[in-house]
Amino acid sequence: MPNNYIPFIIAYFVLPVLSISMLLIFIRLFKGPSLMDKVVALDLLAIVAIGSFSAYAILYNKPIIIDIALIIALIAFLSTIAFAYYYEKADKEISKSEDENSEK
Amino acid sequence: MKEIFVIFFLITGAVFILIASIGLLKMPDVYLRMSASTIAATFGVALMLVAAAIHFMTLGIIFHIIGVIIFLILTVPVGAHLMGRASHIIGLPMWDKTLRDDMKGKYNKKTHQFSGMNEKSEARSGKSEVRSEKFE
Repeated sequence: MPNNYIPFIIAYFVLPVLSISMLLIFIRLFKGPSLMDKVVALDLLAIVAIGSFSAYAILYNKPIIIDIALIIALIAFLSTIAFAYYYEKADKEISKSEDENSEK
Repeated sequence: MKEIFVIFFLITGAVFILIASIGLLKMPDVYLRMSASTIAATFGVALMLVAAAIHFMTLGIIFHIIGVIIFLILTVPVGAHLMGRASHIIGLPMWDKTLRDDMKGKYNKKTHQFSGMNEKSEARSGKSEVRSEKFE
């Protein structure tokens, strides 16, 4: 038996499970019926990336990798909010232009 | 002893993330997908970061990881709430077996103002309703 179990657990269980879940999320990302499904899938993809970065930080024994996790969390939050805001705003503009057309 | 905790938290977090992605794939509806993915994945990632904190066991890294977890717990529900609000306003369909929709008819379809937020918004939405009635 190996002296240190953690790299074996990460390499043979944690990272394969995370890759399988990333594969499932990519299926939803390509299949998603509406744009909002794709945005939800992108958000979840960023969260899974944070988890795999923390697993890599344990595997390589370098705590600086957790900084990357923080930056990815920030970017995922900003992109989600931007997608939701502009998706809602596009609908507002469309209804407003329909209103103007009906006025004419 | 430390290794056992690290391995336990890592495996539990990975299984939670797998459950979240299966829920994202199999749920029938945008809102249900959002619910399944957000809650379980945040909990799984928090567990994996706790595993990293136990493994390194330095004060600076522990506070750093606590900061990341608090940031995730604060921001992921905010993003999910915005996505749910936008998809309800756009009018994405719900599941056939949905029992009730509490947000239906609570906001103006044109200005996206919710009723009962304050008097000014109510007055504005009422004015626009009058205008739309006149044109109809």
